[in-house]
Amino acid sequence: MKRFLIGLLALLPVALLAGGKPWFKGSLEQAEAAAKSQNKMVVLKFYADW
Amino acid sequence: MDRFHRNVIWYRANVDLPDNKPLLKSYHVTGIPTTVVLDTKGEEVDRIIGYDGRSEWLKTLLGYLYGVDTLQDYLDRASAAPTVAEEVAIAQKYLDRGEPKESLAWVDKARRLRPGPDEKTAQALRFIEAQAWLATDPPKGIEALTAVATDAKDPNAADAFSTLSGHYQREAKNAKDVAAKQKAEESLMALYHELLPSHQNDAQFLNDYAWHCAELGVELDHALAAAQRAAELGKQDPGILDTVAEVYYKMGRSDQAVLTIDRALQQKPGDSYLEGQRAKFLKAGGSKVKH
Repeated sequence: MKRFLIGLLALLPVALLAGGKPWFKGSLEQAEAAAKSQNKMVVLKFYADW
Repeated sequence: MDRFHRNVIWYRANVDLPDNKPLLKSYHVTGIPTTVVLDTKGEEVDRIIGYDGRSEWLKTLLGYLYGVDTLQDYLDRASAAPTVAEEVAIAQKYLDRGEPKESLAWVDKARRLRPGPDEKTAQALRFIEAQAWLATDPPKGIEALTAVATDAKDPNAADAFSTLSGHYQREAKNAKDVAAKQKAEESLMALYHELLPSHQNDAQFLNDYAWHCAELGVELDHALAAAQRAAELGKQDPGILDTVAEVYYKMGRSDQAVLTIDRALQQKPGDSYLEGQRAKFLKAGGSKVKH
């Protein structure tokens, strides 16, 4: 499993964290409902501008 | 890449927006940034508190998305062949997600395993336990955290102090009356006083103490000496110079405040926060002449 992850990591473009994330528009409840209906996981990030 | 995005919904919440306050509480967010991974049913898989760099963050996140090193993964492993390291990790994970009683139960389990924990692990368990107590039995937690914070040999001493400091600051902020607020502020100041003699070479600690005094407008002479020593130790770090300037400002010495903030601005030209501080000092009567 970990070996697979290392391989996957190598394929991931740096752009993933460079601002390319398609942030969900709407409430967290809506995001969770969408995740449930589409069988997806949610990555919930708490952040501050400062 | 597309396949990765196809399996994940990204959601972000600004902690400063009032609308997000209930989310902060329900997810027990204690540090910024915090990344919580939820499964398809909305249940927490695990979380990443802080940011150790892009590579580490992404590696941990991917692991969580695939069920590696999550709380459940650790529980499964501990069930099959328990080790102290795994049980410490489980105790920490329960603490992080705001389940102190579960955390305490795993601290006990880790201590009962044989061979017992080494010194570093025992210290980690002591710190986890103290933080959990702070939630379940605050006086006991405060006593235990103070013991860790004042133990110069404990590697968790600085973190224990930060935890206690945050606790007292929240207590002061949420106090229902003046007496409760004063009690919290005095408790934090007493802790600073206890730790100051052993932290004379700790720029961060001295800076925190000075800033705290400036905020309260107390002990300003001591605060100035501490901030100046911190600036010396911190090689004129602009953040520490800002503290020196703020103390001068609170002392009514706005000219000195402007001079000091100008030194900070020399290192971070155009910084909007520092420029704002400069404007504040000038408004209070500081000289516009740069030296």
